[in-house]
Amino acid sequence: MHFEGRETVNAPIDAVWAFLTDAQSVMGCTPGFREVEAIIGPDHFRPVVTASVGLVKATFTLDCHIVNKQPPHKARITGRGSAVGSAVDAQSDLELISESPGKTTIIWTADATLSGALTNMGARLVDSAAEKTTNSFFACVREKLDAGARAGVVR
Amino acid sequence: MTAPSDIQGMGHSVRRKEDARFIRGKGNYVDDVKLPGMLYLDIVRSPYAHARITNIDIAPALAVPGVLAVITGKDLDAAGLAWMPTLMSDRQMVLPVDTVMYQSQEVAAVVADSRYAAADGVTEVGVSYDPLPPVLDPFKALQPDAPVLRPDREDKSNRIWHWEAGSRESTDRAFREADVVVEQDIYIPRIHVASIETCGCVASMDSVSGRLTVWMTTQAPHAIRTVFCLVSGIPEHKIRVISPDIGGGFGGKVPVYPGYVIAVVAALKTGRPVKWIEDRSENLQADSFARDYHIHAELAANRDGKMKALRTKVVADHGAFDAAANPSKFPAGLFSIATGSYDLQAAHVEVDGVYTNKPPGGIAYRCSFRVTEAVHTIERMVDVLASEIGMDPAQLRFANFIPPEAFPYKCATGWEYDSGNYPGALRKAMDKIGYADLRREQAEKRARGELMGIGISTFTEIVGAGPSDTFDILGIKMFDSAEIRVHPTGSAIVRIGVQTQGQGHETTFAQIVAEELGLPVDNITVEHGDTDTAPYGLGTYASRSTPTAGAATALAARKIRDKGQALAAHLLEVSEDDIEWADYKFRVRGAPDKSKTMADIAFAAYTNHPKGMEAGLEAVCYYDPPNLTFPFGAYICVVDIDRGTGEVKIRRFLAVDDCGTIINPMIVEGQIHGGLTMGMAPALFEEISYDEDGNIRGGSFMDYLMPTAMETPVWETDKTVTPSPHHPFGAKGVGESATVGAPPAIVNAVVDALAHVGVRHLDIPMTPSKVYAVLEAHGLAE
Repeated sequence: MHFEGRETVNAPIDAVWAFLTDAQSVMGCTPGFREVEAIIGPDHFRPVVTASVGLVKATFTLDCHIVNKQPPHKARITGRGSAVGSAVDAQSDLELISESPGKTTIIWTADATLSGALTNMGARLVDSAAEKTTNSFFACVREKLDAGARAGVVR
Repeated sequence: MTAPSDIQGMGHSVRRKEDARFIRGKGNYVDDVKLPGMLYLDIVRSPYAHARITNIDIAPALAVPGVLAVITGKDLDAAGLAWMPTLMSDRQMVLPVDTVMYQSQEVAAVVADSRYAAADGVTEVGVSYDPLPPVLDPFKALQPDAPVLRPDREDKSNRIWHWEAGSRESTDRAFREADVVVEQDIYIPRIHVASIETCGCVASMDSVSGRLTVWMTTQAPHAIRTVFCLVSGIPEHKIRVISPDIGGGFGGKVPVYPGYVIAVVAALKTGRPVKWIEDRSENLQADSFARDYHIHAELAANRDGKMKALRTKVVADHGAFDAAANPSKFPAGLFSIATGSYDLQAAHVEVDGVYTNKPPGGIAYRCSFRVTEAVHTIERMVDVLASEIGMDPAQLRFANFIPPEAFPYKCATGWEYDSGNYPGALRKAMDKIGYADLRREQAEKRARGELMGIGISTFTEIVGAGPSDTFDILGIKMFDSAEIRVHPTGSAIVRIGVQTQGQGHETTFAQIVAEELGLPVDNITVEHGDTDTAPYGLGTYASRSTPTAGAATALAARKIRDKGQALAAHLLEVSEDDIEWADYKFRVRGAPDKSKTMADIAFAAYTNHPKGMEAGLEAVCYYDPPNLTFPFGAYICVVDIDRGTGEVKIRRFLAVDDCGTIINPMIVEGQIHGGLTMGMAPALFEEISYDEDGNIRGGSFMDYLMPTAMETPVWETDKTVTPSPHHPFGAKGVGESATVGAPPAIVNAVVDALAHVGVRHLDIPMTPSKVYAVLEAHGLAE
């Protein structure tokens, strides 16, 4: 599955970079996020996330890495994990463009391979579930960064 | 005195004896078996289509309250049970040691003291996988650079086997000499039997006697017992397989599934009975599939419509293991019957079996070993030819039928058809449905822009496997058996080697005995499915019960009648030669008022038998059929297509069937109704497909549309009767005719509705979206 999008937020590029490459803040905006099981290093962490497609729910423990970092412009996040009867293998590329000192555009692409019950029980629902998840993630990012920008802090 | 009306032998619509318990909810299925101390088994399954297992952490599962054991492939490997043989001389993983081969494959099993604890345990088994690229397209699997999916085999290729029938040379020659050659790619997608009852078993080892009893959902309990004995080393007399009431088999309950073996291992390991019942999704996703044939067909003919030769090349996707259930000598089943009802001078068929990362199978879904695929091929190709030469498809069929006087008829691929009257059946169907009027109506509607189609299928089946010189499963010849014991007061018990899954054997086999012995059908009990009591037989599938065990039952009854003749002579104090069997009685020739009924004879057999004769009245027959039987039919389907939605509506469907002599017309009609519905299902609704990662599409009833009464039209049925000349009472078998014959009639009707814009073929299922796309492409969509 391939997804891509472009979002513009009212925050400086360094703040957006700091937010999107921090495990806790990214996970805080991820729908279904439960806990970070372990932070193994600055760019390696293991979140626990519940994904639901239609009637099917699966709780994944993901192994995530942030790689190819070119601060504050580019990064790739990879994640792999399995749940009961399902597995996911995903990577997402981020590109940040500074539109003005207080405005940043996020260009992102994501490729995910979903296996098992989540897809075969709800094949027709995966795309809409992914769209819903993405929308709610960026709504959260915008809200946090805008609020952070207003308050002068990002966290 | 028994009045003949009580006998209710052949030809009577006797109400099904078994229905009394079924309609009251008193059936006894495997899941109804509850034993003291019984444990429950649940299975961990793979989310990946192809992956290496790097680790299995069972500790968290063992910590779940109620969980007693977790079984992995390594455990089974240590006992030499990680692999098991399939019925096709391949082998199949019971549990993988290091590599999973398809999504939803069994990976580990949890045994617990309740069904819920077992399910909780499954969620706690931690399996780490390293995904491998899956091979899903069988054509890609055949390319030289494709990864070898089965490195355990000596042959490092994804081609399982190559099989041919007929003559390549004479076929090539006929093609060279023909005026017209039509060709067509036809895909018959992967589908699933989806029986109401899923698969399952209860395995129980008696530690005192050392006897293993397995209650299981199987269509072939004796063959299963022999396989269990050979695989486990437990002596065959210490294994009892009981197949109780079965909620639908349709070929899906012929193979051995890993769950059965794991349950037996779990019972041995824990010393307690273990129950395994799979859920609906497990059944759809991992049990044997059917069909999945990629067919390229060519038909050669003269311009006047005389068909000359057929050539087909097939790529058969068998998934990760060849776990079909065909007779040993027929890896592609009876696909070589693809010449159908037509007199062709030559034919050549080639099939390649291929491994892919999909569940194993290739079972005969309500079909005699790939005859569905064969019939679909020829019945479609006849219509493609009709379209090419501009001839009415009915006329083209009449011009090419094997003539009734040509039977027994040897076809170009070597089968000897026993009997048939194909023009008679089609003529009857056309008259009854009003074919000429329908064509007129179609022309009028077409002029108004309405889409109406008429489709014909004049199929021939090949069933009743089979003669022992040709047919065996794992070396066991495909005879079948019956044992009849008549009690002193004139009632009887019949035990048969086949196993009912809804066919009504408890009624029809009693009718055979009633007819042959003149005993009332109500006084005859039929038993089957218990290997301790039933005679050895190969089981029920491929429409073989009546052709094989039905014949055995009639012949066993005739042995009883032979002894009865001697007893009658003794009682009536005449010579045996003076006794005749007529009107269900032994009569003195020329003095018909001097007679004895079978009840009189039975009483004498235990109370007054002559000196020198053994007491008792019983007989056994193991019947080796001299040939297969060839039921046939003429089906006509009328469809209307909604130009706004692409929906195909079956307006009328007439099935004229000929299954030889009929035992119970009501049961035959019921078989045809059910079969037609199961034939409509793949034509219009059902398909299991896979995405590029090997995820199953159609793995639940949310996506796999099985027709209900809502989707099913009113079926019209009629019959002709052409008895089989070699069967003891002329029967041919009927359980699968409609499933085999219906799909091409429906496709031919839909294609016919669109023929005027140049549509020549559609693959099944013809879903509204697929049909709508065709309407759009031809400017017909509204």
